[in-house]
Amino acid sequence: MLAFVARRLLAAVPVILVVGATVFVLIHLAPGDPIRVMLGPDARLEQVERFRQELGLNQPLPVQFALWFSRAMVGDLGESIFLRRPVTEAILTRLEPTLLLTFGAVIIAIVIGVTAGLISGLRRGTWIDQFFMFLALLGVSIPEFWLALNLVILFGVEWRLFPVAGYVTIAEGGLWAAIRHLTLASLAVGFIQSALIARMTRSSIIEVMSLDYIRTAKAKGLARLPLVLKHALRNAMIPIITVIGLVFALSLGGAIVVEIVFNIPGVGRLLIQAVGRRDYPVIQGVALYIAFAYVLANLLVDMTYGLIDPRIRYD
Amino acid sequence: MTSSVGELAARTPFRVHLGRVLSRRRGIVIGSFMVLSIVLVAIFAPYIAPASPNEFDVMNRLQPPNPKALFGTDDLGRDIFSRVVYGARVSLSVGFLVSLACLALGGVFGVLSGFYPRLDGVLMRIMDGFMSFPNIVLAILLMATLGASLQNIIIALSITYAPRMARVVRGAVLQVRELSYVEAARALGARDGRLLGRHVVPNAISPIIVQWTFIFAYAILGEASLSFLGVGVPPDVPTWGTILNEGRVYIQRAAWLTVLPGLAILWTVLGLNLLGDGIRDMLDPHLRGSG
Repeated sequence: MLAFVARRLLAAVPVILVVGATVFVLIHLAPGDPIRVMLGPDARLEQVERFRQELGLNQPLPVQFALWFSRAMVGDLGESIFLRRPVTEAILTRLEPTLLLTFGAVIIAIVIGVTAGLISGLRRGTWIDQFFMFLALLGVSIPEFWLALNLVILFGVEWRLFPVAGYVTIAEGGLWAAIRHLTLASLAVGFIQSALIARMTRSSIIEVMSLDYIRTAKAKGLARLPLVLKHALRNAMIPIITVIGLVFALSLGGAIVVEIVFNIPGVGRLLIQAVGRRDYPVIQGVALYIAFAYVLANLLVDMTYGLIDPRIRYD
Repeated sequence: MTSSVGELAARTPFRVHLGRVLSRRRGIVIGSFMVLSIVLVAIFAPYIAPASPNEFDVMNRLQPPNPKALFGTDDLGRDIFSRVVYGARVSLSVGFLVSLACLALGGVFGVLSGFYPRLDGVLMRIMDGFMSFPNIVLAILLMATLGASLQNIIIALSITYAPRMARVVRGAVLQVRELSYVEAARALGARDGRLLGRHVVPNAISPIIVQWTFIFAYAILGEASLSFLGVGVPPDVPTWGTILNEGRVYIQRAAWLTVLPGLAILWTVLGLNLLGDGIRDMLDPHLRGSG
């Protein structure tokens, strides 16, 4: 298992390198000079040049990239042009709400998705199946941010159950306050993503329930609940886990958009602000961090396969 | 007495036949109706919208929905219903052009990848690289590079979604390539171009059509998200995303600015998804006959 994890992490390095290079080239092709944006239109030429030298932006692109990437591999993503602080530090301070939001969304998506998919699959063709599948269709048709806005109107403005915007860190107000600030955001992202899980759970459970060993178990007189949970669901889990991995990545993307709705100071808002200010090091750093999170999520999914299906071995 | 299937079909009254098709293909019918209705709204926008989308009316700022302004008015007194109607033009155009571009890009890369195994490894690794980002993040990065404009949003979304199409086309081509009639055509001496054009692509077309409707839907959602985040279309162009972005500020005082324009997105994307699901079910031999 350890060897497998090590091999997979090593295999991720070229992916990260490609992503890093792509982002680097893309960002440097962009029109607009960050120094000019920062210093304003009145800046004198020698001032601009001195600043450019200070930040290393006067070097040739390949040199800049080699320097940036070799440092990035040991966790040093350079310094933000605008915030005047290390990018790693800026990302780390913004990481807490984004991660909490994403994990919350994934948990909500799994709970809603697996439950709805299971009921739909077992009651195939009934009104409850059609109802859940219609909800799933709605889930893939609604923009996340619009659902988030509607939740704000309902739970935040009308009923005043949850805070409308902002975030309180765990250190400032405790875990409960942090979760309260993220509930609506997680709910918006989680509901949207549950649609994928529900559809996959439904088709997977329908397939498994038609297999011979399920008929045998039924014939032996096994009660319905253990039959479904222990015999059917566990065997239907592999494709569902695959989708959950995908949902993690999508939730991370959703979190970035929904953070803007709720004014949550997370990685997403950091990225959007950096795009507006042409803060290259921050944009590159956030992109690299997201690609890394994606690779980690996939690794986690691959490791879960073995826990669920003992026939899968990692050697 | 023998009667062929054709004769039997001919004897079934058209009305009954139509009724059967409608009930079995409910998704396609409802989906087509929803999409068609919004396309008509976009085409006849000047006749449907009571006002110009950018007409200020400072005397009637932030009016709730009323008979004169169906969706209410915004902070500049602009009629939201008219903006949504004109917004349909931009949002649908973006979705349509992106799906066309994806068809071209994804089609070329997918066919090359599926038909020429040597290219496959390289092309698919590139696609994997693009897909190792959440779509929206890739689109944001591309917009950061290209700058906010209508043309750039189409380019950015096309690059973002083309790998999806490429994968579907590749899969379809791989499947068809191995079939015996393609082998027969090859044995008869058909060249690659003829094989592709006459035998492989026409028989791989159905999953491509399905994916095309889904990408149309994704592109509409993508444009709305980017414009909402303020990195998409410039704010003076009315699209469903920019309308929502402007309305967000007034969410506590004027909820209609966010709720109603969003329904237009929901209506269109739901219609496209119903259509795509319906076509897929119709073309999938495993599902055929069971519905």
